[in-house]
Amino acid sequence: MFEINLFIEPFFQTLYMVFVSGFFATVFGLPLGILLFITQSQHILPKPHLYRGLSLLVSGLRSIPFIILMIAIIPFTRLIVGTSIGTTASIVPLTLCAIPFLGKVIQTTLQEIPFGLIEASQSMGASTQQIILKILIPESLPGIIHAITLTLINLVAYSAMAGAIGGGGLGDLAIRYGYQRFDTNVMFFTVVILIVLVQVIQYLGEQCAKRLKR
Amino acid sequence: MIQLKNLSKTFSTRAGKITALQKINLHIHPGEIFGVIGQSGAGKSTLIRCVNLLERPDEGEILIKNKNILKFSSSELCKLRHHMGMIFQHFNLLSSRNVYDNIALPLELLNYSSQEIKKTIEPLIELTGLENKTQAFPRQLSGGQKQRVAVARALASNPDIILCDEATSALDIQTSHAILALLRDINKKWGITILVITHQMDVVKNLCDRVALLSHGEILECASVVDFFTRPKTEKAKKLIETLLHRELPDKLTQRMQASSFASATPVWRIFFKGQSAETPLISVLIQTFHLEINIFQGNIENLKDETLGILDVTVKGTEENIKKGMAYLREKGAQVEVMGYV
Ligand SMILES: Nc1ncnc2c1ncn2[C@@H]1O[C@H](COP(=O)(O)OP(=O)(O)OP(=O)(O)O)[C@@H](O)[C@H]1O
Ligand SMILES: [Mg+2]
Repeated sequence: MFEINLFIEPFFQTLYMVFVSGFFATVFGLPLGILLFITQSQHILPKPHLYRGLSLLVSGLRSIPFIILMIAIIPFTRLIVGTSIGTTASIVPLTLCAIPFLGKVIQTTLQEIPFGLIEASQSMGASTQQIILKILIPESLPGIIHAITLTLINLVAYSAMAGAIGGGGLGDLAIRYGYQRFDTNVMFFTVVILIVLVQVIQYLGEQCAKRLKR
Repeated sequence: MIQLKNLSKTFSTRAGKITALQKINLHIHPGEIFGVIGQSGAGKSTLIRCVNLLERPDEGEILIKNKNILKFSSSELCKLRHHMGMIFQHFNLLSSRNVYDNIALPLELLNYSSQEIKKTIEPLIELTGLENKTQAFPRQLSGGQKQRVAVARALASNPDIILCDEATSALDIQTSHAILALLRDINKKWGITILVITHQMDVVKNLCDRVALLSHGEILECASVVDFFTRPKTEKAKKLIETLLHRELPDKLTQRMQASSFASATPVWRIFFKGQSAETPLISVLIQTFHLEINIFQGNIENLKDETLGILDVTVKGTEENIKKGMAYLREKGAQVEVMGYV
């Protein structure tokens, strides 16, 4: 029927794209979400101009379709990884697309912390940094895990488009065999792998969040 | 300890300006338990939140230990807050931390080592009776237990002032009495100054040394608790106390009652007995010596923090002269007589 080997490399390419860009998205998206949360007016570090600027940037980036973003930032990608094609190159647009998404979801998650808790810690003399590290992050950790899980799942979907710039991965495989060579078997099997991958990410994320929930 | 001078605060909302506090003046002495009572929306929470600057007033001064905290830098303010505990109506415990770690939080903020933390909070866990709950998480606790954790947490950084915003309002009567007893204990043991905000007269009765009545952002009255109950200066305070203590005269009586005397009128008295005067048989003396006919239609005993207050509502029949003498006698014995009207 077909070579199982056909799937091995694309599968690891997908994992590589999803998790590396997921990692960088968390590194930048988590602080972004926190910054969005605390700089709101009437909050612990009110900075209306910064807040408005960040919100605009976030909603702006989120409204650009991924395929267009990917092409539009080619010069930037080249600047960072030295090339604009290939799996590693696709990590740049994937990360850039995931950061505002994760930032927004984390801001929403933090919004669920009762404001009384933040006030209580202020009344104890906590600094802004202490409030972030000792209250905001621990209190919303299950939500943060959930947000990262959601981002990873989104990245699986977007990584399929990365084939367009030679990113490789399962999505690329499905398009090449299924769409261009009408090999529905390969396409079908790819879809099954993608579904399983998403389910596994979801399951692990949920377990992690559940364990942290008090 | 805490001095508020001409404190004012106005909130601007879309619906317009709301004056939450108007020229508040208060002086709270070291070691006392001071209550602020008022109805919902009176500005109580705003007032207490000004004391640790969770809310910044528009005008006025806040002196704590004679220092104007409005002029503090943010690091000085943090330091000040480290030495002020606060207890909230809805406890505000961290759901991600167990009881022990919740109590430890203020000390963690001060970068204490875990041994120091242990040494400091173990006696507090004992004081608040939480020994077998240290590993529990807040959602596994009852309201009363949660508030005990909050009290222990407020005490952890060895504060000299504790602020309570409706600390017992979310609890049932028994639990709230236990929390009040705990606060009394703390005050007695360590001389911590406590400012309590409440709409429950019960809290004032059981806990406070002095009390202020707040209404629409203004202090109407500020007195010792006994004086507050026995001789309120304003009509509003009188009304409030009467309703809150269920001390209204029965309708049957008020319908017939006149404000001023008339021929052959029978006065209606409210007699307050304090301390020892409650122990002498005043009523029987009135009957035997002054030949008065006393009809008691309601009575009540209030157990204040340091004093017992007896309240008796009576009608007095007799000659005008004897009534006068009887009243003079009561006053001489330390009781307080108030003429409510005539029937
Ligand atoms: N952040 C705010 N913005 C706008 N208005 C506010 C704000 N905080 C309080 N107020 C208004 O100020 C007034 C006093 O509020 P406050 O919370 O001090 O009342 P309270 O006496 O504590 O009432 P309660 O017993 O219901 O807690 C109210 O009319 C309230 O609507
Ligand atoms: Mg209030």
